[in-house]
Amino acid sequence: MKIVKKGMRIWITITAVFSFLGGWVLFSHSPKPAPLQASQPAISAPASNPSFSVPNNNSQSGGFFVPQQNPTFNPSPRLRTGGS
Amino acid sequence: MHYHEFRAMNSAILLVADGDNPTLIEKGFKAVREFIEQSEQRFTRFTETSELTALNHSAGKWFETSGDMFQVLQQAYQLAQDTMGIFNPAILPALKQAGYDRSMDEIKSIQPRTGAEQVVAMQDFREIRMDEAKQAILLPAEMQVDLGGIAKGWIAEQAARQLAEYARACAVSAGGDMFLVNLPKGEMDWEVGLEDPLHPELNLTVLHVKPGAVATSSVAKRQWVHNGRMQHHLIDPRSGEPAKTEWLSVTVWAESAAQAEVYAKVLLIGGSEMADELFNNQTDKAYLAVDKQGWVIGSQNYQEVFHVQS
Repeated sequence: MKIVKKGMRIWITITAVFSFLGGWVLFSHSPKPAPLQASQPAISAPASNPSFSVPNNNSQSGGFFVPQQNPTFNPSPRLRTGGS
Repeated sequence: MHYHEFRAMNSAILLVADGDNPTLIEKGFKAVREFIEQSEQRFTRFTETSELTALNHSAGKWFETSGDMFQVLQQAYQLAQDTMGIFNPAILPALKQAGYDRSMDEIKSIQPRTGAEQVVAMQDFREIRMDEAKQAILLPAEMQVDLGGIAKGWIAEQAARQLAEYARACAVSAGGDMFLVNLPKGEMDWEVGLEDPLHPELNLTVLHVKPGAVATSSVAKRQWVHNGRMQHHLIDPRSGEPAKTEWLSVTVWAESAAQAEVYAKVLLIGGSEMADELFNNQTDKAYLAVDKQGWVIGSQNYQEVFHVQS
């Protein structure tokens, strides 16, 4: 009985070690994901409303928002304002 | 939609018109272009022959102006009053002291210069006198006036009103400061890209605005090096030097182009404190400011006016 138990333990250990090494080799040789190209459309989170936070109590300002981070997704209107 | 582009007033001019008769619209573009080019000759401070230069030379004496010049000076006077003198067209000596003594196109084409540092005495534009019956102006002795932005806005508005005679709806943009008349067929508003002040080739967002005037003032443009220091064109009349601003740019919507131009400039100089004072419970104008971290801050009513695209 002792011999059987010992044999089982050795079998499980050897199997676990080889499975781990086999997995490592498999993943290390698998192709890496291609880096995102500038010309490819990025998969982004769905457009959401700008996030607002409560303005300073003394301020009359009505809101704060984070500008869109992916401006290239919208075709730019011909009319643009930015100071001259 | 029909477009016509050209360069005037040291700015890119864009005429936009919506209508069913292309020939009529082309005629409108031609007429408006002529008007803009003629007006530039009147209001520029960079030629010796302009009416503005003649007005500046007449400081200390009454000067009879053209109807257009009188109208712009009247609006400038009113806005100087409304903004407690922060809008002050009499900053020309300070602009020259900072090195803005020739057109921006010329400044950008030459090497940085040095000049004697002098203390410039600031004059208050609210001290001018006007005679409406004679359309005459009295600038106090030695006062020198620059009508840069307000004149450009006024010209854009007049040009758009003229173009509207040839089109169903139209817009005239002078370097991004624009006046919009009516709405294009089937549209609920005009789409206007809001430039990122740090990356002007990109839009921060797209604004959906109703007819009226949109103007932006920015410290990121019209910059140059003088006496080894970076300078910009927004003079703070309280210091007589280029303003140290809290924000990078301010965009204002208002019913008139002169108002939009002046308030954009004043809020950029005065920052959030000035904005609270001047835009408290306002419904006829709204602002969006971009701060140095790229955050956009709006007046209480900005959503009603700009309909910011998410």
